[in-house]
Order: sequence, then structure tokens, then C-alpha cells
Amino acid sequence: MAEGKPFIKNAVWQERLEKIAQETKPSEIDYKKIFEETDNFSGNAAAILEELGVQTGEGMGEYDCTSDKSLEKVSDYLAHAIQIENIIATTHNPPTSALRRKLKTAFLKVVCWPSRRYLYPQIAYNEDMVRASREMLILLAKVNRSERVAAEKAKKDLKEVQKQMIRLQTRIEELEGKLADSEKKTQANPETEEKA
Amino acid sequence: MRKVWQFLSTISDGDAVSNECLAIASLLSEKGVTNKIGARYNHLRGTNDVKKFEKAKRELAPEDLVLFHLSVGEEMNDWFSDLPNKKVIIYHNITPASFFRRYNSKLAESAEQGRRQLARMASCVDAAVTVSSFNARELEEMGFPKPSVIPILVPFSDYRTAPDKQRMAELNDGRTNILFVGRLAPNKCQEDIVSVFSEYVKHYDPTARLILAGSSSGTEYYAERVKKYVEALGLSEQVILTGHTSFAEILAFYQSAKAFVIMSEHEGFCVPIVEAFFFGVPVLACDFAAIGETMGNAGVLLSEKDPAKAAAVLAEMVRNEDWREQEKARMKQELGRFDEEKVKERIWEVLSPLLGDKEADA
Repeated sequence: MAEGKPFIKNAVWQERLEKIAQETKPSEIDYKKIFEETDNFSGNAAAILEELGVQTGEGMGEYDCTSDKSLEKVSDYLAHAIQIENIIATTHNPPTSALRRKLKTAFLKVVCWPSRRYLYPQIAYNEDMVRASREMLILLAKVNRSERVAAEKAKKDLKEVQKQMIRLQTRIEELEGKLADSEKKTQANPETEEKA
Repeated sequence: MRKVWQFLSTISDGDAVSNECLAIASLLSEKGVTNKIGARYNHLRGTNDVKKFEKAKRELAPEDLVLFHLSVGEEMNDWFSDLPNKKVIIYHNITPASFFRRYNSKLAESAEQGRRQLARMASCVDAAVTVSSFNARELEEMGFPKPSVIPILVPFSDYRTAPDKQRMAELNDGRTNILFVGRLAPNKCQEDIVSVFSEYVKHYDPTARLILAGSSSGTEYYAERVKKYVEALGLSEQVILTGHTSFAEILAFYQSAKAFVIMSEHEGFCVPIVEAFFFGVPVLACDFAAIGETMGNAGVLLSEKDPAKAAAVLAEMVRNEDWREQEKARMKQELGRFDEEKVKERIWEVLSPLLGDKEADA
């Protein structure tokens, strides 16, 4: 932009608009900084996979997304991670088989999505991938919720069992006590026992 | 009789380069000149006569005149340079690679390749046509002799078709609609439009709505950043990122908009400015590349990007009815520069001498 140019060029109300602009105080918001903060691409495949809940092997460090060699390496690791992990741990035992199927599909899409979006920016990804990732997060939350509910129920059941065990133990002890008393009485008065 | 072939990388519905190509085809047909189109990618809906590039190459005769639309870097460009035919380049501008490096290395490479290929064409074309003086300066710097500056052919008749009814009903809800139409791309700086809108909402019109209409194919990461930016500013409820949208919806956006805001830092022409003029929507823009030239004497042109000041000016543009009335008259006047018949005549002036006497007299 050339220096000394008026801030505004308008054929109709140049002066009026110029005055409005001059009287306006600068913004208190640092817009540039906020926009810069949205650029959080790190190229760190491990972090992306970790975020997704996939355990990664050694060597999944920082990658230069512009290098073809690195892309190949990342791609290999991604494939390896999928192979050894199969799918996210939480998807192993979801409450229903339908949910498991959905999770598997979503997981595959989601693994593809970040690899394309972050590591292969030159390859266009589509809105389906973004939706899949969101769907994935929702499903994971669902599974986690189900697991939490199941765990709470198990804990409750365990407590009940423990209580019952204590009650049973107490009863056993009572019965053992009675049995011991009875044996003592028999030893002390064998005739009574015989008559009886 | 000399036949005319037009070549372009991709032909599709709605984009400016394709529209220009189809309009030239219709002009040539009107003038009685046999003409054909060859494209590597044909995305036109319905049946059409566009030939696949490989087939078109085989059909091309040495005496045919070739019009080549250049807007991207690709192999076809070198093929065009090596052709022995009479040839005309129609340069639509190539966005500098620097805008894409952060977001899409393929697009950046394509832009660099395109500019290298363009420079090579300087010495081997019979005429160069471009849509703005800004583009012409680029061509001259590369050594093209006297490029003809002819505005792009804008298909105004299409704008008279019906808008999407549902969208119209949604948008005419009493809220102020601020609009930008164009691909979500780093050179178009949609984030700066959001900044201006943020100030506008904060100080002047809390219920206003911003519509950013355009696809993000190839610039997905940039689009994600814009989305995050909108969220960070707490504007998710007020900013609509439409993605790829239908032409009828675009008509609805224009017809319900109170103002059109452009913060682009690189445009070789910027057709949406003309579209906004057509719909009587006042334009607020920043003076970069060919924008000032396309605006002419209409619209408000800022010399720097300052969200607070721009928002103050935008508020005045939206609420001052006297100003709006005067501005509408200016926009109407400026539209005269893009009159379809006048533009076609100017294109014909460039092409007719290259066609030979018979066609020129037709």
C-alpha cells in the first residue's frame, strides 16, 4: 500500500467517510494474534494419533510435512499403528455390536482424515472426513460413558457381593461357633449325647 | 477457412474462466466462425461439445487459430508454447505461490510452474488479452508486447434467474446480511473480513450475519483456520461458511445482502465486485491488486486494513440510505464498462485480424 494515500476512496462521500474512520478508536482486540493461534498444525503424527487414542511405536516424532520421504515414513507408521493396535482400545468391548461396527468405520475414516489433512495437505479431504472425526469423538464419549456406567454398576455389585460375603462369613462364623459350643457340650456330657 | 480452438485446463459451470470461454464460443458462432473447445477436465453439467484435450490435440489443424486461457500451471501450457499455429493467450492471472505454500504445496508448485510457463509464452504468441490493467502490467514485465485489456465477459442474464426460495426466506429475517463470495483461499483473506465483522457486531449491529460463500477445495487447512478463528471470536452463530453452494443460493445471498466486503490481497479482476454492483449491493474493499480498477468510481476503497475503521465505515454504508441511493447510481454507471455487447466487440477487434479476411468480414 502506497504511503500518504487517504484511508478511504469513495466518489460520493469521501470526506464524510474519512471523518468517520478518523474518529474511530483502534480495536482493543489483537485479531492478528488470534488468527495466528489457529495455526496449530505441528506435523506431529504421534500427537495426532495420541489424540485419537492410538498408541504409537517409537520413532513417531516430528515430521516435516513437505518432505515426500517423511510422508512415506509417516504413512508406514500410520499403517503399522493401525495394524498393531487394530482399533482404539475402547472399541474392543463396546456395549453393542452395532456401535462396534460404527466405531470401526469411524476410526478408519478418522485415521485417514488427519493423515490427509495434516500430513498430506496437498490431497483434498472432504467434509465427510471432518464429520467422521466428530462422529468418532461422540461415539468415543458414548463408549466411555457406557463403560463408566458399567464400571459403576460393577462396583456397586461388588460392594453388594462383598456385603453378602461378610454376611455369609458372619453366618459361617456364627454356625462354626454354635458347632464348637455343641462339640464342647458333647465332650462335657457324653451320656446326654448318647441318650439323645 | 480458419477454425478457432479454445483450450483451457478445466471447464465447469459458474467459474469466471469457463464463462469467458463459453461466451467467446458464442461470439464466434454468432460471427459465423467454426469454433471448438478442448479441456483436460470437463465438469460441465449435461451434454456439451467440449472435447477431451487429447482428442482436441489430434483434431487441431496447423491453420487453426488457438485461444488459450491461462490461470494455472500445467503441462498444457508448454504444449501451447510449442504449437506452430497462430495463437492468442487470454491471461486470467495466476495467484502467487506464496499464498499457498503454507496450505497446499501442490497449488504453490502449480502457481510457480504457471508463471514460468507464462514467461516462456511471451515470445511465441500473436496476441495477448487480459482482463485488467493489473494483469497487463504483469504480462508487460514478462515481455509480452502490448497486451489488450478487455474486461471479463460477465453472464448478466444468468443473474436474472430465480434465487433459492428457502435461502431467501432464511436470510430475510430482519437481520443485516454482510456478504463475500469467493473460494476460501489465503489470497482472499476471509479472516480479515471476519475481523471487520467482529468489530461491526461489537459496536454497531449485534445481530448481524456474515455469509462467506465459497468452496474450500484444495485449501481445506486454511478453511479450518478460518472456522477456528470464527469460533475463537465467539461468532459461530453469526458467520455462515457455506462451502460449495448452488448458483440459486448465491443469487439469494446477493439479493439479501446489505453490503459486500472484500479484503483480498490478490485478485486479477474479481468478478464478485461486478456481481455485487449488478445486485446493487455496496462494496467495501481494500485496495490490492486489480480490485481498485474493477471497482472504478463505485464502492468504498480502503488503503489499509484496520478492522475498527473498516467496521465504522461499513456501519455508515449499511445505515445511511441517502448514501446508498447515490451509491446505487454509481454502481449502475460502472456496470456499463462490463456491457456484454461492448466486451464482445472488443474481443472481436482483437481476434478478427488473426482470422483472415473472410471471417473478419462476417
